[in-house]
Amino acid sequence: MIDQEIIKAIKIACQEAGQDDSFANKLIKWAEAVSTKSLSPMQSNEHLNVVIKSIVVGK
Amino acid sequence: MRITIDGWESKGLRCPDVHVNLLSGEHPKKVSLIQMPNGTGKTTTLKLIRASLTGAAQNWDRDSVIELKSLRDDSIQHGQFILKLSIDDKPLAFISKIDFIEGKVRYETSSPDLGGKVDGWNPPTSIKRFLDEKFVSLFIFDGEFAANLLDSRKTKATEAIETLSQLDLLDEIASESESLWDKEKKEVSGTSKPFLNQLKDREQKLIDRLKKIESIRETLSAKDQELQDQINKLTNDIEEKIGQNREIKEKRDRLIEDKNHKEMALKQNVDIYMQEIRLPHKLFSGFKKHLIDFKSSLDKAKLPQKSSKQFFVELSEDASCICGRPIGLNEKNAILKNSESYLSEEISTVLNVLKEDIKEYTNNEESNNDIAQSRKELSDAYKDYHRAVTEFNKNELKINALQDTAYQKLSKENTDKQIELKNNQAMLSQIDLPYKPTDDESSNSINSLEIQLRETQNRIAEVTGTVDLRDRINILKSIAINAKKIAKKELHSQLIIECNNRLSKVLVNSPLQIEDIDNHIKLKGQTAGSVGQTLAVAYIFLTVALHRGSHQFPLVVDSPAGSLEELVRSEIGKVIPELCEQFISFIIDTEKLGFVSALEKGSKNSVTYNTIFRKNSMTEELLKTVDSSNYEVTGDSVLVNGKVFFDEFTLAKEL
Repeated sequence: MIDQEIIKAIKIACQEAGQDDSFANKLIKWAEAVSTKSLSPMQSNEHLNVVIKSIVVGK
Repeated sequence: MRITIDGWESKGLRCPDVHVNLLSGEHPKKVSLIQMPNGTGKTTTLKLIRASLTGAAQNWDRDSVIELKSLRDDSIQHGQFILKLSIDDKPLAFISKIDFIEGKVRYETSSPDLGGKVDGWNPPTSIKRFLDEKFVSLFIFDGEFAANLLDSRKTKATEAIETLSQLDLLDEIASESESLWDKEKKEVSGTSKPFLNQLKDREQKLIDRLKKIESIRETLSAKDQELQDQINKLTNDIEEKIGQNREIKEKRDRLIEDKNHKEMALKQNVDIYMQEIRLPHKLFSGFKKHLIDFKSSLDKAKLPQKSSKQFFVELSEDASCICGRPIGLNEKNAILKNSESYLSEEISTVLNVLKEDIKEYTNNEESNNDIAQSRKELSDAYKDYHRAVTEFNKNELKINALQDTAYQKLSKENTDKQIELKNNQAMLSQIDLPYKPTDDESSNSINSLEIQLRETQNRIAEVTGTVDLRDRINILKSIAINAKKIAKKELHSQLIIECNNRLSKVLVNSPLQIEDIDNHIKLKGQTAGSVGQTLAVAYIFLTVALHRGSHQFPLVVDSPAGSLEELVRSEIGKVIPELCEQFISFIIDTEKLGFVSALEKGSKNSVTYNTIFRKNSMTEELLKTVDSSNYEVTGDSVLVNGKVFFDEFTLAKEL
């Protein structure tokens, strides 16, 4: 579990970048997975691809 | 998650051969005190505890391993250190097997989750992220680390917060996304390949240069702060010396006030003059004439009134034209169509405003003289300021000649530091320069390097067909950077409030508050505290920061109270048990007064007492009054459990 302030900050930063809550939640999920330091390279890549594909460009 | 240290065993090492058990029933007590005289092996014990928690020893060089060998017996070839932990009440042990012949350390890990004992350093996944050297050094520390938190040349405080709150996660996200792009930058064939390689080379040069300049900026900023602190102190010392002679002090104060007053007046005149020279008609009288001529020509052409599109639009809605003829549908459409040839409302407005401005600026005879007047006033202000500075400097030389060597030394040092600060700031200002199109990858400006890097990456993206990916990565990185900035600000703010609340209760007689946490902890109204105050601030800061998350860590401290005065020891001792789940303290006899009783009170007497000392000729005498079930004698040491022996033990007695 990551610090609450990091979660809040990610949500604010996503909003300011024109991304929706669903994207913010994906990013938070990835951050929490990274925080365990037990992700395999493949798992990390999967999270990253999900997050990258969810970004809305041009807002 | 709750992590506690249940005890350790050591054998064949520089620290005593002991079996330390901190458990009382199934759990350790709130406070565990290990009294060990200096030279008994405290440092080695702490080093091994840290290494067990991080697995660092497997990477130690031969010399570092040999250093651990017991001095008692040269023939010893192997040593062992076992650290016993509980993770949410589940046992976990790290066994370090030390081979002094090979000069290597091998680990074994024992845990029910692993099905028993396995080779290697294998902590459970759930705690792995806490067991790196940066994190562990935050809950197993000594006085030097505490001092570093307040050292303006170091960045330990901000690193501590970033580690404890895992802010570096956001850096990791940014870095992973760049790695994805590195992988996706496809090779291109044919004529584009050399060009792509050129771009990639440039990209790498810019990344390396940016990293280097950012590191230099960090060093220069820390140096800037250090120099400012030193100059403040020197200035205070100088003022104090001068203050001993009232006449000299009064004259000097007058000259300083005059200098500051003239400097402010000069700045104001510069601002006024800068405003004036931005108005072209004030700078050059010919320009004024041209403006008036231009306005006249607009008036002559009756612009914009009669040429306004709006005029024709409104006319088209009337029943009849200005010439009197009726306006039907055909006429209306023709008027509207042709009105496009005339000036739009926006242009009409601009022309009207322009004419008004020309009228206002050129008709005011008084304002036309301002620039000559401003120039004269600026020149006079500069001369006044220069005179004031010269007077001040002449007076400083006079004072210097009259004063003793100590003063002259302070004065010279102050001058040297001021020059050093100026040079340092000049270098910093280079780094903060804005981007110029003529910059290249050897630029010293961070802003310029970032822009050049972004442009290069965009070019690479175009050549490799990864523009969309590059855009997404840029968005993700900017979110990560922004989130880190937001979280960092909030965390710092919360920590400062909480720490200051604690500090006001602990340091009642010598009040101290934290002003800011930048790279280091900045104190309010002072650049540094006493050794005792520094320790108090460090404890409060670390325990408050550790206490933030839902995880509980033990706090292990070497010599926690040595330099604290009795009242501060007492206040710290009361507070520490509130701030951590388990407090383990390596302590010498002179630290006990005030500290131990406060720990007992703060923990409601949940304390384990251990005394470890080297076996010597007095050992038998010392142990005469101790029940045999309460002590253990090994090859080189004695471990005694219990409060009575702990309280009565002193180094003098041991010797």
